Amino acid sequence: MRFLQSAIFYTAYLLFSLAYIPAAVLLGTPVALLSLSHRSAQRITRWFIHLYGAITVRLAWPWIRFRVVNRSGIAPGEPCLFISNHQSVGDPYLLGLFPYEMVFFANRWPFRIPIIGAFAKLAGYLDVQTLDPQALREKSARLLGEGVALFGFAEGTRTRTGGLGAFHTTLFRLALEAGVPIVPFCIAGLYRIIPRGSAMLRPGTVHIHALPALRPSDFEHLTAHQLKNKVWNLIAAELALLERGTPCA
Amino acid sequence: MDKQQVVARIATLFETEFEIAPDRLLPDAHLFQDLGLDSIDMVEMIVVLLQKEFGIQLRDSEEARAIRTLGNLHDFVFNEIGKSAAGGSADPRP
Repeated sequence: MRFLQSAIFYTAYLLFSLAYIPAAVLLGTPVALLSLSHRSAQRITRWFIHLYGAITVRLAWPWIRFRVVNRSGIAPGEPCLFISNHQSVGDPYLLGLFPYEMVFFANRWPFRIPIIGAFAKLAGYLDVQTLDPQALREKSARLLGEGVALFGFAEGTRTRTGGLGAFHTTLFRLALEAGVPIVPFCIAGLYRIIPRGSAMLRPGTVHIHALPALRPSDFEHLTAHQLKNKVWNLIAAELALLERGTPCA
Repeated sequence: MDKQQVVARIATLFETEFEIAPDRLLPDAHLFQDLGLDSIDMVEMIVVLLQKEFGIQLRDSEEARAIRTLGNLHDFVFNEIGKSAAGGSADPRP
């Protein structure tokens, strides 16, 4: 049964991607070229990526269901930094369920994937492995100034155990310097649906919770390491609650 | 300074500067993956703090580049203190 479900999903995903990506290139390229600014071109690219994620997650219905709760208090267009745990290769698609123009902090490898890497570059995604700290700060500040929400997986990689791993300090240092709200973002259930090292899907429910944003006044007195621990504790507590209530078939 | 003292002082350093709970400071803990340090922590803090704490320079060497875990760091610091003491240039704080 799992094999059949997985085969149906991946077939639908492949067919959708084969139709969507060329369409996005054909439609997006002239629109981006005709747009008056680099900012507009990036916004269009991010919109196509957002829509791609939004449709992809729905292809998994009804075996995989998504419960989205947004308690962040962040309005679209408000600069902020989303800090998330990282459960699965499917996590980035989930952002299509939220109404924000987002830019990801990513490792080097997604930029090397044909087509997807090109979209990531066009969308202005930030390569945390090749950008030096100063360049990362400057690019992040520019994006935040444009009203873009930045999104990072603070563990740097997918969980190996299903639990919450150690957070890296980089994003918290950025948040302190930029003085923007931080939204702790919790993904629960997807690790068991698509475990690391497996392509086989299992039915279940994924909970995606954007927790109430921490405003700069809540954390400006903290060091980057203290802030990191604070956000880690918030996500860990939410994850523990959600994992207890998300049985997976 | 014996190895236990080195381990204890590095543990204190990690607890106070990096806010890492003592129970996570295991010798096989990877500095990046398990303890969440990043390149800025390594360059700006460990280098400076180790010099301040132990009076040693974390210079660019094969040994320094091989540091991956907390245990590697313990060994490195302990060996460097030994070398400095033998050369007469060490200034580890008591």
